[in-house]
Amino acid sequence: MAGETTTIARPYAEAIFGRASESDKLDHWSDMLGLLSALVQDARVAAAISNPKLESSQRIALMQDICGEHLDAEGQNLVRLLVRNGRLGVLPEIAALYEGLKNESQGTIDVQVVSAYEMTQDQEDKLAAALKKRLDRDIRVTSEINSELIGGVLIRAGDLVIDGSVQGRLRKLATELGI
Amino acid sequence: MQLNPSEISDLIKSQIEKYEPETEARTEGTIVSLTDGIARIHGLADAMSYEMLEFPGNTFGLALNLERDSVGAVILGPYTHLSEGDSVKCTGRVLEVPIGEGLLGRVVDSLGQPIDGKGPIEATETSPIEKVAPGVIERKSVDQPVQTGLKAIDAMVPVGRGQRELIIGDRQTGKSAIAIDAIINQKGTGVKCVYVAVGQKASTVAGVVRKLEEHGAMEHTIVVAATAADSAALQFIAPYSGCTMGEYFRDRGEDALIIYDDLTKQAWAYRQVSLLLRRPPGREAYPGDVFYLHSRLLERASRINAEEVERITNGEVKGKTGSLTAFPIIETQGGDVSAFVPTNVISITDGQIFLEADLFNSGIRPAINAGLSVSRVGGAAQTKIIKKLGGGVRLALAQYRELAAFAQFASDLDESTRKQLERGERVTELMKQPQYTPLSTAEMAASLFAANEGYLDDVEANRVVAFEAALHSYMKSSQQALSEKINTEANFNDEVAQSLHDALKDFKANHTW
Repeated sequence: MAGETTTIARPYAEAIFGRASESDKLDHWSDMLGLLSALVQDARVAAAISNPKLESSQRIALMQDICGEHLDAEGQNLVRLLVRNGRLGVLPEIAALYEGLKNESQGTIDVQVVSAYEMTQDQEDKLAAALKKRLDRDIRVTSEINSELIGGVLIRAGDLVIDGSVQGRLRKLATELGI
Repeated sequence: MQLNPSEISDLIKSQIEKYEPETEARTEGTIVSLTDGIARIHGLADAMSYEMLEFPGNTFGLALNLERDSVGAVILGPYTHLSEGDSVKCTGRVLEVPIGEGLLGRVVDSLGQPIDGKGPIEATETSPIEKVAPGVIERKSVDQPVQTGLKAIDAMVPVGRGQRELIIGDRQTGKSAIAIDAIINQKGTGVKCVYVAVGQKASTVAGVVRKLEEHGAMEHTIVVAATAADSAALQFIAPYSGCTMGEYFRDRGEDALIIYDDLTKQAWAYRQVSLLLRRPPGREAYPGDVFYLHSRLLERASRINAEEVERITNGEVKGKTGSLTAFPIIETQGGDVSAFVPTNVISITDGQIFLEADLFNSGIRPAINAGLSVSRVGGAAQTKIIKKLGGGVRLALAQYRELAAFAQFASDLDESTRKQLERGERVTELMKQPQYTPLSTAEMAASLFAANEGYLDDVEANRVVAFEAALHSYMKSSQQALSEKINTEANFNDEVAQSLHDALKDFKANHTW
């Protein structure tokens, strides 16, 4: 995620989000953008769309062929626009920004919880309730296990990182001691 | 670094006491690009300007550019172990350095970390490097002198406590020498000194520290060194760090003296950082805020009134004013004072000591140009006796230089012109002073008195230096009471004048030079 591509992607994401809210197709757009961004990240597709031998019309055709009926008329328009502006590469960024806008409007946030050991359902519920209170949003939790943490949990919600892991504490102690 | 075992365990003990294993919630970002010590970081949405950022591997950076989608930060120190994709954390603190008495006698880097191998710094307090200068209400006018121990400066361009006096000149004209002499002369006066070396050779800094140690001046001095090998970011923050250390003394009702050696190199370092951060370049490729870079630094050198000292110390120190006197140094190229940075700093400071390569090469050292050197507030703060005796020296010297240039073409001169030329020649000789030999007020007064009262008129111009040396040793050995009186009272009256007349007559009658 580069700073400059974010700047380029923002107007697209905002426009798509505006259009999606108007036509009440937030989830549909979400699916389409997910598909498109997965597509341009595929090595073969990426090679094809950056191939200078291909003309714009061929690129559009290629994208539409692969997506088939997953893209509606507006989705096809977006592809055409992006090809014409030479911005197919920023699709993953557009998708990420769009998801952020969507979450914000729906009052939800994606939270990643990394723990050293698998948590019980009870623990997860407690954590989810506490996070919901702290962040003041509906949360969608994705959990992960990483034994390198030694103990405790590490919670990521956007930029915010709550580090309650043993690894984090040890690192902090090391910094305090200047080693 | 040499550490004794008790120091290590003490350190660990204190750190363990302080250590609070709280769960930390901080915002995190990712390095997107890393070029020449500048990191562009994605994320960190709530980073503050000048906030310290924590990079992996105990490395810190300074957030300078806050943009919509990224943060531009300079990395303080080595950055080769960092790479794209590393995570960066906010610390929620602006950059701070340790302050206090424990720093005296030490050599530290821009972050206040010791680099002299004498173990950790004993300082419990820290303070932000960027602070706002005292306002109008908190200030007091400058009316006490800072004695530099150099005749030429104390007589012609006197400096007061809380003043900013620029030392400007080409390379190799003795700029740093003046500053070092001023530090040495503060021994025993209670004035604490901070010497900030920016972009100098490490060997030069080591030489300065050794000289200060030799003259017993290190006990009241802090040396902040950002050498040429340090990153540009460290060079550009060094003066602010030094200023914060000096302000500690000012805010406690003491007097401090800070030397920025030199601000030209700091401006270069800042220019480098700014260009790498892609800020638009202006005149001479400096960024738009290079004036503010120096003005906000030099405004912090000030004298504050007793009420403010009382307020800052919560009533611990009463009835004492505090001051921070600054000697910024600027190096010119080929004597060009109209370049960008020199004109800026000249306009900010309360006067300048202008050093000339021609004078230096013709053996007049310190090579002060009497015509161009001024002190805008120092007159009010000058020692009374020096003010009385040295009052006419600057004007006389400036006139002499003009007359001397003119008289080269004249074949025969009238009596008064010839006299003026001869007097000027001797005063020029008298203003010479070797390095590392600051003079006391009494010695200075004796020299100036001899010149004013015509005791030098029958001394050959090339013997004036020897005459003065003999006079000083005579004053030291045979006129102790008088010297003592002048040094403590620093007042000039008929009685002192008579004693000086007697002393000089006795000296001229009975001594050789």
